[in-house]
Amino acid sequence: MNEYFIFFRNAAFFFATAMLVKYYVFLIIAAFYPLQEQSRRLHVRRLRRKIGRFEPYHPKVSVIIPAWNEEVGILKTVSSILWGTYEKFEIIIVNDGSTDDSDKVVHEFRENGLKDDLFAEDKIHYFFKENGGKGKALNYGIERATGEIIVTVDADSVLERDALTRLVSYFEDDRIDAAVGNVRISKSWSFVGLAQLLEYLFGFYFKRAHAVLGAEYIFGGACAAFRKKAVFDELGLFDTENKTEDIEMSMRIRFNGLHSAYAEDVICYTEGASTVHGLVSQRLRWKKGRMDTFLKYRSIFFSADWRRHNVFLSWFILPFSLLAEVQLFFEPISITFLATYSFVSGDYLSITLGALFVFVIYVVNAFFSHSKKSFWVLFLFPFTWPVFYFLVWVEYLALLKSLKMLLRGDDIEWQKWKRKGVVLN
Amino acid sequence: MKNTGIAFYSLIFLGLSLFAFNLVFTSMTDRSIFQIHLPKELVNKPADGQIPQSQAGRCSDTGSIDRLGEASDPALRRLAEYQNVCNSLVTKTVTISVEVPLDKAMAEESAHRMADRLKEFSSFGVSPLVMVEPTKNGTFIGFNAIQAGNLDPAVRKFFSTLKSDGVTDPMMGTWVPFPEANLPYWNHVNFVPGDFSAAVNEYLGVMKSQFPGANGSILLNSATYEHENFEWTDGEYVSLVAYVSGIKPGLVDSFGIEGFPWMPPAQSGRFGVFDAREYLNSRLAIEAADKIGVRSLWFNTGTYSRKYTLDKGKTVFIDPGKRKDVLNGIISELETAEKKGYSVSINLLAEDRSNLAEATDWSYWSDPNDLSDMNRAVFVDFSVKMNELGIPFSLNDESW
Repeated sequence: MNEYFIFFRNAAFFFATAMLVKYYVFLIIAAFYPLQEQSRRLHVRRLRRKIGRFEPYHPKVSVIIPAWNEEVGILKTVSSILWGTYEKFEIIIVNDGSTDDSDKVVHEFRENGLKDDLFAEDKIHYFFKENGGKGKALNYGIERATGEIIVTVDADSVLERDALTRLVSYFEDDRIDAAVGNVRISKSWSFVGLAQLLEYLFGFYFKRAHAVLGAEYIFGGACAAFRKKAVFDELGLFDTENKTEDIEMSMRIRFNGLHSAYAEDVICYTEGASTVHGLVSQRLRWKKGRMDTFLKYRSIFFSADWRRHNVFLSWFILPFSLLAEVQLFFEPISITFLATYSFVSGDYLSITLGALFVFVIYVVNAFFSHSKKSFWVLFLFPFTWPVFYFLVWVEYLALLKSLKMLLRGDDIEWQKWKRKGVVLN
Repeated sequence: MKNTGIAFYSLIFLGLSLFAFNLVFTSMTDRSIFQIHLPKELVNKPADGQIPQSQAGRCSDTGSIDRLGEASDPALRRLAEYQNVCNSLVTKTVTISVEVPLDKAMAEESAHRMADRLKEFSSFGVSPLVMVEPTKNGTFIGFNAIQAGNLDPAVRKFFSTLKSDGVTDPMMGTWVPFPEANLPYWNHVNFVPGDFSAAVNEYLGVMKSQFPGANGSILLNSATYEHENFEWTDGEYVSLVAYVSGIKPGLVDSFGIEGFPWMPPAQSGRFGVFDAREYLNSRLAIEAADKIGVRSLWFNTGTYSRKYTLDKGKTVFIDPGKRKDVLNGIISELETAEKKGYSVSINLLAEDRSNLAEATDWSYWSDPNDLSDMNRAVFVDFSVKMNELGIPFSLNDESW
């Protein structure tokens, strides 16, 4: 028998088994998230009662919105925060040298759009600076922030009405220094949109599992919150050299032993890439940023510093995350291999286990998602495989390109795609 | 990322996907996705003018055995058909089978029939390769009974009758008691390899007491199976020494190993086996031969054109080109053993067993006169090559 066949068969089965085990383990772990979250909140309430803190936790929140050419969506972003349920906040919009009409749009909104809200004007602080990148824009806003909690929100994202209230509630727990919201892709019926919609749908359970293990390590820029004193005062501002400053900051927080939470009930809608080209560029940026960050904080991998580094993160989540990249490298071979092998041999075990896993995720999403029942997602099940194969292709392009850039020491460019605006689900 | 970059990396992605698809497909079906296949019914029909030269020529420079087609023994008449196809001598050795007699009456009756056959074989200069099946009317006779000598009186009667009927040592050819003992279909119970060698000793001991000049041999399958609760998928290519280590010196003159290529039925979940180094492992044969102390090896093998299944849609076909490749692979494996100083030969299974339980067509033609049948050409080419290489082969075709 062909020796290469045997090698690739064994490799494909190894990776498939490793990933399936991981996915199923995560699936089980993720189920404990609500229980753990309830338990944590109960603990916080008891603790507060014990130390005599009966007043509601109501810190000032500074919401930083960096914006570069976001004329299409920025008002929706601002409005969703401005007229949300939380009241003690300030919005700091940092226009990073936009060349579109976003400056004009914001000014008009401040002059004409706030008539009915007497206090809104005072809550919005608008700054226009020369273009310097998202990291610099965020830092510009943080330096001017007066809130105890810093929330970063992308200018193409929209928060649910009670998102800020819920987000703040996590910081009632003194142990938590950072929290990341539940980011969802706004509805889009294009193929690229559908692919991202499904991808984010699946991402939630990873977040849940990470949260249960206390190993959340990516606080996406679309909606993340930080305790200013513990994070920015102690660890410094965003790394302006890193094009994925949110990933870098997330890892820096975990590297320094701070605790974080996944706020599943904080729903934030963001606009996904609308074209294949845009999606590839986005993934390239993420992947390259993640590689750079992993390289920078490589000592956290298999770290024996148990007190500072979460053991699950160091020994399980991060190594598996790297293994996933290795797996991705062989994905064109392994996916085709498993599919062809199953078809020719009639042994559909691997594919069935994979499909079962996917179906469970669909069911969980349809019946147990946080905000509302989403039965419609079940109809997407038949489209899962072509959609995921498309995503594998996109990720693969990003991986090869980022590896090439890593080897050549190149850096990625800022990405910009044509905005259409968030469509709320 | 630029469009050229996307195109370039996509090509890598596509290339690797195609590579994986072809790798699996080739390994599991032995067909490349890049090969264009004619419909099955056309595969065996070459275009005009493409009939190999050897189809119309001779397989060897030795003339045919005269009047073989007029023989009374069907095995000889069958051999005559091969001669006609080859326009020359094909082989002077053919396989026949005989069962172990259970009592003296049976032994005598069986011996008379066998004596007639052996004498006619001899009259045409043909030597038999006699497979002694451990059965009577298809029912297995336990090795324990044979090794304990329970059947010795009947076996002794069998050979003494042969002798008294005028069979001489040279007429006897080669006798192979209890072939393929390491296959499970003999329904062995509480079987250990030593049972086999003890039974062989008993049988050949009796034979050689009557025909000291006759040849004794052993045939074992290259894959060994557990005999109880076995699965056909569980055969292992392990050492055969345990089966031969108890053989008494001088009883066995050669060692035979058996193995056949195998194509899985669709959706069987198994892989095809076409590498002679795997299914006809000369290393295992040499190891066993060395243990017995013989330098003569023979390889019991063949290729099939069709293997039928209950589900017609899953019938397995092997095209003539593949059969030719398989035979060449077998020859290469023989040459490996030959280079190590062993004399080698092939016993080629060429019987159409489509109507038997195994439902496999091992033959090379349905009409010996159909020159356009490429399977026929495969056999002719094989015969030519064997003659050119000077490697003897015998035929295993009892389809009469």
